[in-house]
Amino acid sequence: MEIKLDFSKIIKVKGNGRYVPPPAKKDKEVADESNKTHSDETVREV
Amino acid sequence: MIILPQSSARYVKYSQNNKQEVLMVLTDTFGNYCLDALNALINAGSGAGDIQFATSNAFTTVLATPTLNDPAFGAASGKSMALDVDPAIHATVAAGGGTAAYGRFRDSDGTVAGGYFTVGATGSGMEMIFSTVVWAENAEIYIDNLAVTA
Repeated sequence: MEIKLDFSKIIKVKGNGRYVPPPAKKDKEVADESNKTHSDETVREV
Repeated sequence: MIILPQSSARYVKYSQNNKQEVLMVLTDTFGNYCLDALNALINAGSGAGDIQFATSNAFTTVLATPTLNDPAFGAASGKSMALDVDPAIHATVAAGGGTAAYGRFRDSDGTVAGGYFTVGATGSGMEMIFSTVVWAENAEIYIDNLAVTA
């Protein structure tokens, strides 16, 4: 009789993990970026 | 090498091609030996090994590769060894993201240690469970616990 050791059946993994979603941009940040105009920049009179 | 099955757990079945298959229960000594060998393979490189999580068992699209502690596992006992998760094992999901389906251990040189294992969402019955397997780019995945048994 031939005996084979199938390690895929011998070794078993059991585990638990956690998924943390990427940080979503806050509405205010998105709005700030889209509404940014030249008026937001410093203008110096010379 | 002779491996003697435990008589209470031994059975014989015949598959369709009439080949005889015998289920043998590993002794603690041999089971622990196998597990410690796997741990040694993962730790074999100059640094700590890692786990690759990918969308397929071809591992062409790797989603995240958390680096393990070194050594990765504690010594096997009772045909089981536990992953060292302190400091925490985590990684950031790669660009594009995807659906995780398989994982595998590697040493620090990228040499694969052992085969792959399945990854699934809660209730899927897969070997490694995450609350979701649809991973977005820049998300963070953590391995809270992982045991390998023989």
